[in-house]
Amino acid sequence: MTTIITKTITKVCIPLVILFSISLLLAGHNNPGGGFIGGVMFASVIALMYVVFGLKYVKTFFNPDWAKWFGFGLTLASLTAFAAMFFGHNFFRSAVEFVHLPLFGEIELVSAGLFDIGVYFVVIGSLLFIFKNVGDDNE
Amino acid sequence: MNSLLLDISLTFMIIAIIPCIYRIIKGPTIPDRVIAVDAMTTVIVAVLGIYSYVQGSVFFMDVALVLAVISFIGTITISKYLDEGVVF
Repeated sequence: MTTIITKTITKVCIPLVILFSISLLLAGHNNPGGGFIGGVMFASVIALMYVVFGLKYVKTFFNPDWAKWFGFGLTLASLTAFAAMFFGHNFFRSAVEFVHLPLFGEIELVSAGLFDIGVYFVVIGSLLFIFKNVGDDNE
Repeated sequence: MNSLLLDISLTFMIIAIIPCIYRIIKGPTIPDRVIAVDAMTTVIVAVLGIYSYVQGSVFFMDVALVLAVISFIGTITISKYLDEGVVF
């Protein structure tokens, strides 16, 4: 029995919060943000969509396998950690590179950002896998 | 950037959190506690906004936005659970 107000607010919320979660993910290690809180924001807004529109209706148009997201993120984070060992450095060593893009000016590319993206997918996958499967068991 | 008015408003907002905490601990029913948590989170978001101006830093705004979104989603989920008995 969700009202039309909640549904409209949810439709407005979903793209804005997903954009905010990606911005938190890319804000990275120098500013507040990072993979974990970005993943939590993404998972919470998808959970809001599940709650407001109902799991059965959402499954008809949006039904990813969240366990695969978990596995992809864990693989990506582990491979980022191992990559430095092939170049003779320590485990988990990060490389920093400054690049100049036309429209954005100078930005800082860090290989720890790939690890953050892995953490992002791990958090999304695990939270939504638990949420969906716990909520699903009464039918 | 730091004036007496901002200090007074921060003080009063911190005082406004106390009845919310009382209602969370003492509240006879669960809807009382949910409303109290929602009100307390709103006050904390306002405190973070003013404190961000006092400190001259934009980092508190990220915290305020995350707290507002998570509080909104939690309140809606608990309300639906109390109303219907199921979450989905």
